[in-house]
Amino acid sequence: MTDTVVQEAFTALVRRGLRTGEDESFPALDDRQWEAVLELGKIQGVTGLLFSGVESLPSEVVVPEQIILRLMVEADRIMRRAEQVSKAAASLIKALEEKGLHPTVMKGPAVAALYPDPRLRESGDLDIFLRPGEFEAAVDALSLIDYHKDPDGNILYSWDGVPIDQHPRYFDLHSKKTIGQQADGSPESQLLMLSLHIRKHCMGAGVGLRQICDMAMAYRALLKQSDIQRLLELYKKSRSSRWNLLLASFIKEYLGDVPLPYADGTSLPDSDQLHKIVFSGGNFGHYDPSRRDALKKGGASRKIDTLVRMLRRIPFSLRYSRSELLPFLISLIRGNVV
Amino acid sequence: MRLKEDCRIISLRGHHLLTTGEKSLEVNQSFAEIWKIAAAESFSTESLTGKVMLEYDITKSEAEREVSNLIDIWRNHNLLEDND
Repeated sequence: MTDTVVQEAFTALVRRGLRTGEDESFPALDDRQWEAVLELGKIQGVTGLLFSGVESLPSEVVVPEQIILRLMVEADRIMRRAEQVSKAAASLIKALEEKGLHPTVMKGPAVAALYPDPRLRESGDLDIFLRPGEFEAAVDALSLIDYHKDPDGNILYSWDGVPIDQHPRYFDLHSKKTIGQQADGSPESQLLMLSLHIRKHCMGAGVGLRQICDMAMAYRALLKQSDIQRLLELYKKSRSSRWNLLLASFIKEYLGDVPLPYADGTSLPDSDQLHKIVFSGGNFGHYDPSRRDALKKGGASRKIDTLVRMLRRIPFSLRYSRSELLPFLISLIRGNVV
Repeated sequence: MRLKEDCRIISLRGHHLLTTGEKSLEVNQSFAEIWKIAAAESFSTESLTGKVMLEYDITKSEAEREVSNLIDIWRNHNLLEDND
């Protein structure tokens, strides 16, 4: 179990990095505790925010030199990677548009732009959405040779050294009884897309703090441009109202001063269930030891592990994504069999 | 001459690191500003000497010595564009 002082320091630094909690006091840490904070940053995919957070600490706070050096090395790696992903995004979008297609960049670079320092948001792969009719056409348009489909129907390939995750759905919704899949570019759609993405991962292997920081930054940047009533209506139509209240509760408790689409006095649920998911497995659940082993083995081990995790999360899914659970499971089973 | 394009200086709480993506060198705080200038733009030995004199308020001969040492360090670590 993580030392509570370490956890407190870690979340304080994340808030400082997000600029949502800059005047808070900071606990004194010993070398071992600083190492633990750095390790948490790696597990949760937020080392860039730790760099920024440490940068903002008052000068009287003692930060060990080896921690400073490691943060600089890591921040440099993160910034170089962010540039590579950004350049790949620009060239991929151009290549697709030149062939008459209409890609939308999801998450990644689009949400990094909402951070205080976009270069410090850790980048992994690049997610793009192409609507039906254009989704399969991208393979020919880009003359792709080395690509494959994952069980969720996404096409995966590499572009300029960056893994691309091409989605046939803008919203992570498999149930047909909710809303359509049109990416209308509105701030409400973007918020819903990010929220449903986090929920999908919570139903399976897990999700880390990085994705929830994305949601917090999206709320901060987009809520003021949003039609709040329309947003709440979208949450309702997508059967994600209860989930979004849980997400808001977590953001309010751990990520500081972030505007939320709920009136003051709205009762928010206890965020413990989401806290457990985030801190038990880290970034996409990859740091849960059994998940790590399954990923290393790959193939059938990985698929079985994903299924076992989904089954374990059934109580969570029944509470926060009931209408989505069965369609999602069927879609995954179909994707694995076909 | 100038430092290679992939050289960057990153700073945190009074510490400075020159990185190339593959390796990194800690930069003495005393000359961090000059490393940043060399990373940002082309320079001649004379222009860099002038900048060092101004930045650190030292004599021309002291500045020439520091610049010569810096260029040796950059050359030894294969950080200069003309190293190739």
